[in-house]
Amino acid sequence: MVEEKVVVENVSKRFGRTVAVDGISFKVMKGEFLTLLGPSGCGKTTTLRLVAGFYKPDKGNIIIDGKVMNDIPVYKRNIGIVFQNYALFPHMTVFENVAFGLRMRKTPEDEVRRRVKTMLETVGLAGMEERYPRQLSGGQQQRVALARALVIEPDVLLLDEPLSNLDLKLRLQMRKEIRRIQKRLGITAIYVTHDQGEALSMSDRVAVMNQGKIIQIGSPTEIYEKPVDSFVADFIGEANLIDGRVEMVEGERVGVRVGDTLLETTADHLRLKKGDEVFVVARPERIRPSREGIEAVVEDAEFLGQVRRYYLRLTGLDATIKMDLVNYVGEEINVGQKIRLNLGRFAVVKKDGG
Amino acid sequence: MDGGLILKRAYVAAFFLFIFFPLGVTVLISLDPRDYVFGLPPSISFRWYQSFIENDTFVNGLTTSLIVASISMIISTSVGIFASYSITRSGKGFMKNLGTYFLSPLLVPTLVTGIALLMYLKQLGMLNSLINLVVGHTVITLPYSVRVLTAVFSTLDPSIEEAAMSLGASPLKVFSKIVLPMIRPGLMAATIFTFSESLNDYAVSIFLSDSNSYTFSVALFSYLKAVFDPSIAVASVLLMAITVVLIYAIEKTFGLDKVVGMW
Repeated sequence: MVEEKVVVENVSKRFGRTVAVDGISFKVMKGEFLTLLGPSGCGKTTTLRLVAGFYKPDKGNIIIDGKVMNDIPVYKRNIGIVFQNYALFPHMTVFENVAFGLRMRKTPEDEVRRRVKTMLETVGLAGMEERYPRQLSGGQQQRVALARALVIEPDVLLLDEPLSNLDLKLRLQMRKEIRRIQKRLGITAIYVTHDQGEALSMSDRVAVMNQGKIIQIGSPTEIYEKPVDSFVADFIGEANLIDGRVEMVEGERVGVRVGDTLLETTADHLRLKKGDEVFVVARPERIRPSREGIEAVVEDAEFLGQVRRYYLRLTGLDATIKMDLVNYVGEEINVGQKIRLNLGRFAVVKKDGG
Repeated sequence: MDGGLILKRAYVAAFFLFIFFPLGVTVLISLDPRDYVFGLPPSISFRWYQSFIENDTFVNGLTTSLIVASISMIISTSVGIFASYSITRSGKGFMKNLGTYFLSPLLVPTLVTGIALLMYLKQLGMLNSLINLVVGHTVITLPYSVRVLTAVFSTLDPSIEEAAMSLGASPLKVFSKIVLPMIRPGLMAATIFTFSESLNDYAVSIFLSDSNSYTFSVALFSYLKAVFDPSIAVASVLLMAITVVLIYAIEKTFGLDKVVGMW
């Protein structure tokens, strides 16, 4: 049976006049990895701190394991937090850092030793017990922080941009590492990030946030393939937003006119009507030169290593779109040339306010 | 070596000479076997050290000073800890301005503080001069402990305390297990600073002392008004020695530049 581990129910939080979190609701199942993704100031960190208990919601409920937590202080909730800057205790050794939570719970000494040892092995820090945080690298410090949060067997693990202080290579490695440990321990996790790559690669589900609201929540594929609006489409991955108008709706099939071309796709989740103004969301890596389709003029080309990127001006439309070609072996494409495009699999979103 | 460098070194040397020469002279005078002060001592003697120890006024004054300095040090640092913690942890507004309030005794000449306290304490009917001295010294030493401790607290990362809290530590435990150990060096500096501030004060002490309780500095000045012999120099050497030891301790535990340089 799938349990609801964390339930956030219509929660709002304002600071002075700023509404940081505006009536959001979501559930996290037992063992699930949920990411709150959004630009800075979107309310994702506030949401995490509400779940942690550093803030009290103005409205709504925070429910952990079926209990309303609104009035329970942080130190009486059983949660683990990993901070962006690690927040290790500088005056304690690695062992004492990890043991701290157990000591606060008055765990017997031999059990403390056993559990800290096992946890340090899990995060790959065996033998580092007597070091002080300042003697460790950034990546090692982050592992200590992770071990410290996990050793207390928290109901939920909260991670607040834990990788943003690490360099790129280590970041990619730690993504896998965190995900592996989370799966192995079967722990419920809420992860905050502004990095869509992290969100898509690590999560079971992603909640995309903007201006204090959850815009869309779903699996990484869903978010990528079926964005609900232009914000999500634009924020996740690279996207070309092209103006269009719905001309035909037949069950799931939708016909959208872009310029003088009629494009067909399926859009079951949007309840589109004939005449709706929409954006066609075309991913640059899916667009291909073709014999038929939308006509465009090549404005510029860039070499980006594995990828060659073309900027294309659509004929009859006031829009320039990007096309990324990897290992392209077709006819040569030159700047100034007129070509036709196949947009590949694309999504449709309603225009904002529509 | 070019001329500019020589000039610079000469300037620094002259500066140090200007500062330390009088102190060196004081040490020399304290070792003079004669009854008067004139020129270099003909030989070295500890006679005046002997007479200093046998002088009740000096010993009483020193005892009172040490008691007052210890008590006001304890009050100033303990009030300072909580005041500074609240000031640094409460972003802005009222509490932030309270920081300026705590530092305000630094802006008023201590002489004025002394007179004001004398009149105020008389009005309140507080006649115990020992208590009055403690009150006065707490007022003038508090800014130093607040200043040092706010500097310390502002270097602490609040998320460390949040991490401790998330691991099950109540606010009291967070303070005792995490915050206090982290600020220990700064705390040392604050206690030393307030202690030496109190020990060296004259302006406030002169108004709050009476014949029952008077500080060392007050005893010294009243003796100086009556007689001028080398035992004064002995007293000065003693004060200097205490201060040097304390300043050295600050430098070793915390770094003097952090105490004097912040803000």
